[in-house]
Amino acid sequence: MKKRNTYRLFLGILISSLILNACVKNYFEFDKISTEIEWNPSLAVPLINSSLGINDILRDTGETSFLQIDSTNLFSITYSQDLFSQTADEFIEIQDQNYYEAFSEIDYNLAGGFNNDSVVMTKDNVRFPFSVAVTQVIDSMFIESAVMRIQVNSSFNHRGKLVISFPSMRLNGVPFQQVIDINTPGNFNYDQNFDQFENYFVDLSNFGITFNSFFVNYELTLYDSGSGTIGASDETTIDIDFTDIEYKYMFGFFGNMEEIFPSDSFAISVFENISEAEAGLSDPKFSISVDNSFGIPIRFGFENFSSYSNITQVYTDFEGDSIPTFENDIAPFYISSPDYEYLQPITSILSQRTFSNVGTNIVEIFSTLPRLITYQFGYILNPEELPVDQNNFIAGDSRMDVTFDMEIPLFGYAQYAGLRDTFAIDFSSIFGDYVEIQSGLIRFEIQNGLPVDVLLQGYFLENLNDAPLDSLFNQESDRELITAGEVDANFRVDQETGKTSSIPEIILDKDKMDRIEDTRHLILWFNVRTTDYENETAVKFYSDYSVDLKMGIQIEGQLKF
Amino acid sequence: MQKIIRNIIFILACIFASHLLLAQQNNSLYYLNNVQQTNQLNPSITNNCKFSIGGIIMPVTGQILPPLYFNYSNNAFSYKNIIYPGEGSQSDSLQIVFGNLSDAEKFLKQLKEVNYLAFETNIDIIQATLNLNNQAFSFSITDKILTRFYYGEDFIKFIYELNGNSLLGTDAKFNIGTEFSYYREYGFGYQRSINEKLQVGGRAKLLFGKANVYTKNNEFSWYTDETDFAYDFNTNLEVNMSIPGITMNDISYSDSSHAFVVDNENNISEVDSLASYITNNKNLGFAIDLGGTYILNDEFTFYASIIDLGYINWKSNAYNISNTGNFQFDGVDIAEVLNDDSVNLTDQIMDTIFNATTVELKTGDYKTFLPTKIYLGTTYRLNEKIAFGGLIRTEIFQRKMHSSLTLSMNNYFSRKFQTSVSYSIINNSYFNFGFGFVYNTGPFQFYIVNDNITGMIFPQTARNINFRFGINWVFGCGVTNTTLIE
Repeated sequence: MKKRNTYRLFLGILISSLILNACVKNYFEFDKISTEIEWNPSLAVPLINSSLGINDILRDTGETSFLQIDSTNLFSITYSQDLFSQTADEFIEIQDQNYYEAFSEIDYNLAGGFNNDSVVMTKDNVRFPFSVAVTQVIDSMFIESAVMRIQVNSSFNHRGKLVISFPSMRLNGVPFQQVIDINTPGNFNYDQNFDQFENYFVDLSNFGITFNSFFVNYELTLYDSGSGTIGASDETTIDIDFTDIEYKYMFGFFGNMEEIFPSDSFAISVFENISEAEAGLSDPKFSISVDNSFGIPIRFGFENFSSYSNITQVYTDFEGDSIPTFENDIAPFYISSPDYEYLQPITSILSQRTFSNVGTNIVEIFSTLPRLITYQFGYILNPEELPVDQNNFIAGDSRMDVTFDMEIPLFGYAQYAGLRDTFAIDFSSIFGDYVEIQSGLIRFEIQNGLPVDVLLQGYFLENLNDAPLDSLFNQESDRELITAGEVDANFRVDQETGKTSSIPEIILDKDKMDRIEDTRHLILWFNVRTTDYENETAVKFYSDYSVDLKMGIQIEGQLKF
Repeated sequence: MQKIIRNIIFILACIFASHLLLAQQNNSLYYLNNVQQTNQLNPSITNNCKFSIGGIIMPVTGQILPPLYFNYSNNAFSYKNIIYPGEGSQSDSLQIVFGNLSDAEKFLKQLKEVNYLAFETNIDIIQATLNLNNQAFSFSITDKILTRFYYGEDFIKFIYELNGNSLLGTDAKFNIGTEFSYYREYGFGYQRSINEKLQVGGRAKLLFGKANVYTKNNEFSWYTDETDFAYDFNTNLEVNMSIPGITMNDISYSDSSHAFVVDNENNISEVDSLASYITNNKNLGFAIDLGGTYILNDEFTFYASIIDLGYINWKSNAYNISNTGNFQFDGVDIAEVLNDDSVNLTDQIMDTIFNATTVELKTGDYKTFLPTKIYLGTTYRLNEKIAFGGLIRTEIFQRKMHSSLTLSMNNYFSRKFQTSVSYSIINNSYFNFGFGFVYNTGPFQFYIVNDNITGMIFPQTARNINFRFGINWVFGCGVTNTTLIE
């Protein structure tokens, strides 16, 4: 009986162990562990929290050096272009001069031959033309530097002395003079350079009688060497090269020269990419500034002056009474000249011509947001319509600098549908290769302090040149309007009280995520318009304007193997 | 009398009910009075032998069945909660809890506010007990290794669903921490019968710490705003560590790797030998165990003990890494990067978050307290061979009390053979049946104790697995000197 009970107990334990073992084993067969994991992580990330000033926003569109702030913190788009600079050297360049003279048997005979073993031959006030441009009349000048080369050859079989003096070229009233000892009878050669001419005053008018004339006195004395005669072919030649003449001051009448420069242009980069917009800018201004130290009457003018707009795709000429074209005889632009004080530095004079929307078509032109300004300009010296003035003067360091300035205060109204920005985006990089994005939510919190309504649309693209995979908003009506700040009577948005608040959301559901999973680029496209654009209400943009922007994303993924 | 008992039972029930049911276990051993190791749980209890000795250094027996205590404890889930046979078309495979949403949600719901995972191992190098009339002396050397991890339920939620789902708009508390301690304990015990009803005992313990990692503060919360998803972090993290062979110079945030990097010198090779590591006596600590046994009458006996009341002062290669403060992240300021395509937004976010917080590395001693255990129990003697016991064990850890309840039936078949069967509520688990026995044969005493035999049979259901076994050499054993069998 006891054995039977023991047997039963043993059997019971054995069966129980087998059952239990089977139960336990089921849980620990690790090769049967399923790899199916349903993991749906949902990540919420605050991406952006910024207070973007208007400068930051405009900076994202490119170059910002054109933005300036005036004393009231009003923004202006400004461009300053140096049109040209001209120095005195480029303006009037003095040509190299050459003066040749000779003494021969004729001059010997005219002087009466040897008398008491010597003869003196003279040629006074020999007049040479001082070579300048055709229409220029040079009265006089102070020399800064010059080089004079004197070459003398003498075949007279006598010793002698040659005195060359320049009565119209004086330093402190003393003419420049050289005495040359002819000490080699029959074959004398002399070649010497002189360059100490600083501050020499050169009178090219012979004391007001003439102009462009240079005078030289020659005196040749021969000492009889014993023959008492000269050969028929004997002579003394004097060759003077007066070169590299730089002036400190020059006086005269510098002609009616007209200079027209080649066409040129500059881009208004802020409007460069705008192809669809309408705008009205209230107070654009242009100005031409000429800083001049030439003592010459000068008229400045445009040969042509126009703009090109992407919106109209045509060139439009600037027109109006204040536009300084050469055809404009109503209000020609004459450049002011400085006064001259004897040997004192010349102080330049600034002349400025400003032309605005008054009496011009500038407002019309800027309503098309021109991206290019083209121009061709020039000047006329001593314009014929002015009385002839022979008191032109110029200093060696005289110059004329012409600058073109454009200022467009951000004051007006506009509508623009083309503001865009492109971002690189790769959804697979957010969770890695093993998690597929299922859906997403992009939420903005915006406090808009700009007087601009914004309508946002975005396009998902795999390649920038391909058609979009999908858009951010399926329907136009889905697009969230970011309402403009409230503009007060001074055309201004009060940043304390005038900001408007909006919390737009972009929902990316499963279907959309399937369509855009290969996205590599997101192009955001903004329609912007100023407050109350329909009524052409002008607004002003101040430097303290800002948009408080928060952006967060919530993305739900699913594990995939 | 009955009123006193009722009051005591009421107080015990309140204590038990008011705390989380998590603890390292050894409760079935408590009433196995014949084995000297019971003295480790209540120093007022001693066995019925004149002299007992055991330990890994004992020849043959110490190697055949080394005296070992092992405990695994998990208050949040069992194996089958995360891996289980599939159903229907999936019946031939094992599913994991995150295989489908509904199971995952159930799993997340069952997590506690704070969840614990613990491993504990004790190896008795030597333990000896000498009983002399009404008093007993004991000596022990024990190596103890304790490892615990704990984490908030929000941490697991975050791993599974990140911050954009149920944690959105809540202050998610991660509360991740760990404690690892390895130390050697030298115990000197004394037990005395004050009178026929009262026995008291105590043990002074000298502790030598070998290695430690200790999360002193583990507060980390992450709030994600529902509207703009802005983050608000609150941290009060402080980790102390004493790791032989590691010298830390600095800790700093690396912009390139987006992580905190520790500049350290690994001098582990300079640690001469395992012996020098084990004999490291720079980390000195002290602890006491106290216990009392009160025999009310022939039926009822009451027990109380407090174990491991003490600390270790860690001085060797001691470091403190802390991160305290509050910081917010609500997005990157794009004003500076609008026109800079080279800027990586992800890097910007990471750098902004990590640069906003400061992690400090300091050197200096620190102190860790041992996880103190309090035992309160009673036995009811049915007859000379059978006694029923009840025991509440409370462990103080991370400034919280963690309790378990064990009911046992203890059989005293003979002076050679004693058994205990138990039922415990442990780690929020109500299916724990334990078993233990002590068997003397000749000079050898074999013992094995387990609080959850069901966990050994069905490990997939177990939140707690523990066992203690070994062989003692015993001499002069009789039936006297027990509180139950007189």
